[in-house]
Amino acid sequence: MRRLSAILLAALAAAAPLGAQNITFTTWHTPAQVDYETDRLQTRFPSLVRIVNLGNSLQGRPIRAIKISDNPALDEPSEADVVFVALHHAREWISTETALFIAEQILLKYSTDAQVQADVKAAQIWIIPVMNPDGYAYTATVDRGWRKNRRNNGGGTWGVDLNRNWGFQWGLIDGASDKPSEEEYYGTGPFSEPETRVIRDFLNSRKARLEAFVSYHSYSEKWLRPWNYVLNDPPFDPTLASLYERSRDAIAAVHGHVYGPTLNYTASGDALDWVWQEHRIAAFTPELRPLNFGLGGFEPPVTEIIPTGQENTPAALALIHDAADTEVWIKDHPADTGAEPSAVWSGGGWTHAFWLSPDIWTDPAAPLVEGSTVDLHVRVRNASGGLLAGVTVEAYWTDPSISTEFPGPGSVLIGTHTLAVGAAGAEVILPWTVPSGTNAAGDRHWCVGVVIKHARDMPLTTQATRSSNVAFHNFWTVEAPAGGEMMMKVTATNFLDVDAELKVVLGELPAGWRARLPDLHTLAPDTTYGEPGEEDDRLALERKGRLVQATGTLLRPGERVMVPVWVTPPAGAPPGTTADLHIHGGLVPLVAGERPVLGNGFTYRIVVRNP
Amino acid sequence: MKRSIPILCLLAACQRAELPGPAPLALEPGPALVAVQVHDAQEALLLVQALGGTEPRLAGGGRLYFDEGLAERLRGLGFPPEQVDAGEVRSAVVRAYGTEAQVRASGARLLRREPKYLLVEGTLNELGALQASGVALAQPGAREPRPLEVRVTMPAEADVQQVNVIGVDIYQSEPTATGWMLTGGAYEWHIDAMVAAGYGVERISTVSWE
Repeated sequence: MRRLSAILLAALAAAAPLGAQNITFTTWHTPAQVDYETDRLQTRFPSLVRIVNLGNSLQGRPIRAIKISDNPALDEPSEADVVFVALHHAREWISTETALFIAEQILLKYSTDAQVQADVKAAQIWIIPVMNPDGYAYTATVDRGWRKNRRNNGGGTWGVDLNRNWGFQWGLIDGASDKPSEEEYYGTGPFSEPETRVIRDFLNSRKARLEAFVSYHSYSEKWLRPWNYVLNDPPFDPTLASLYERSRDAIAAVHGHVYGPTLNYTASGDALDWVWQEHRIAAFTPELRPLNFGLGGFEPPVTEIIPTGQENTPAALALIHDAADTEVWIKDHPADTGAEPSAVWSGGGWTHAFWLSPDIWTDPAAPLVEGSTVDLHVRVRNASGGLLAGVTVEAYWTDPSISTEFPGPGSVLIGTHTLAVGAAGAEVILPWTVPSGTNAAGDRHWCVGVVIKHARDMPLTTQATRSSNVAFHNFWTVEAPAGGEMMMKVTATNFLDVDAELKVVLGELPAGWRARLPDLHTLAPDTTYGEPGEEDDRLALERKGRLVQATGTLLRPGERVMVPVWVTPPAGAPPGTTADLHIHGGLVPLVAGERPVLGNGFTYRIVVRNP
Repeated sequence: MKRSIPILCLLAACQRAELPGPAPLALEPGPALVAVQVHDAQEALLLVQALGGTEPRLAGGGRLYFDEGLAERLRGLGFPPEQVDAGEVRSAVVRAYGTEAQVRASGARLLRREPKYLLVEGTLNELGALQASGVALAQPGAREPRPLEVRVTMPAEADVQQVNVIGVDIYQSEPTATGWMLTGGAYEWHIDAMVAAGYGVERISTVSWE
């Protein structure tokens, strides 16, 4: 008996270290093994990992996230959220393996890599290894090649393609299917499936600090960026393109596999497009190994698992670092500390006038003279504590618009400059010839935006409030007679890819000054960037407006409206008296659920002129 | 061995599938439906939200199909409902024991050519017409329908999107010495459409659930 006990003890002692062993990536993990290894990550790294059940699949299986953070049991809303999702498609097992691999690598590096440790402390990383657990179970037991979830569609067909069920551009049939028997069947409605709803609701719950989203698929070795519903139309290419190039470089640096640029066919209603449209953040879809069907297709040799994980880890870490840390930054407003978001919309407008960056100014100062060349000054701040070489400053000008972003569709590059930035920061001077003539609103009001990039700190969005790497400054001065009413025009363009409602709120003026707006609901768009709206489109827009009880101006994608603002200085105000009028603008997309506000504002410095 | 798809198609079209003598399949149209037109996915989502989360039964062609009982609520929300024949919009996959000509005449689509039957998909009305023409129908197998794996060759990269529009589940595409090639999952009617478009199609797996 004593001998048996000794054997048992020895066996237990031998078994104990198993709990601390790294995950073995030399075989495919069954669904039960994925759950086991996921649980074991929490056991192995209890101070860094919590397993969170985000919701359940159609058949009731949990959709689990590995949350990695320095305080995983706490929700830390000030920290950036980065989300990695795998296995939309059941047969793409290597995506689950890669997600597990990356999760473990982050945790292992935490104790040896100071940068990873700092990033984990500054971010909340969510890794969802199996988004489609019903399909995964089916591939493990019945049909290895199954793609969809396991919805009983009736009529003898099963499954909805979860990556055609997201709610942006859902329902197109060139890149999805309305036929339940088909592999790309889009379902009975956008977000008809619990699996997509679970991930959508989770992303929306993190929206305040959601910075990056990666959806792993296989196969063909590509790194895809939006859009997927159309060919060759990436929005705001410079921001996503920079990240995309860096990610591909990071992958290629590991084993020499150069992930290709784009698909040459469309896919509508996918996660990537929805995330970009809804959250305007970095969103990518890697198509993992193997390269082609001949190398194994959805069932590559198990020896591909580790190199796939290895080559994708640096790209994932770089995105986490972008989201987590501020190396270089620029102030959006005087009180800006670099934290994101730097301003938020409340009922009375934006909490800060973030369109007046104190780190962007001209010499000579405003008012600007059209056609003149001024020195554009940009202050670059460095929070890294050391010298940062290779910092790039890009400056753009554009017509001012409530929908300004940098770079945006109308941005014109003023210039770029690359420099080393010390701990005290640096100042960059770029020559800028102020555009001649009037802008789209018929006046002389320009907006300058700056984007700061460093290989270790890239902007993840074009929105100034959401990125400490992006800021802008409106340059504008007007004169008005004392006691007389003058009209100014505010331009707003719907740069979103969905219909939107324009809201405009006027800031407070000193005593005696008055300002007023028209009834926004009565304003009609005066210009479109694309094709003029069809009558049916306009009716649909108005119907959507009624569904959300919109009170602002309704704009289709690309449409522009001029909003008149009337200002009256007090009668008897001496010449030279000034007042600043902040005009807060927001575009609110006509979408279901909570509607985020995007946009910015103008500040008019009004000078009372001589009678 | 690479096979000539057009010849196979022709042979299959002339061959009458073997009749097993199954019990007639009852094609139930289900509850009555009404249809509303929606402009895009956002409007569909807003409508579902306004309906308190009630999801449509079916969707397609820019229309959402709801239970008839929701007609007045839909009208009140600004979406005039249209009565539809449920047999025109509900579809099913069945095993058909007839000829391809009979399937084509009914308007149903051919999914798979199996040795003993044809696997077809059609609206309930199309399948009813097929049944009325004397073709026996039976429930599909538990693992049906599943596409075939195919390799498709085409002259140019732009053709990849054309194959996508046909409805093929594209796995991956790559250039070749003479053009482009892709692998993917396709049903027989996709294959027929690709062949008709001049693309070369080779079946690379012929897994059958029969």
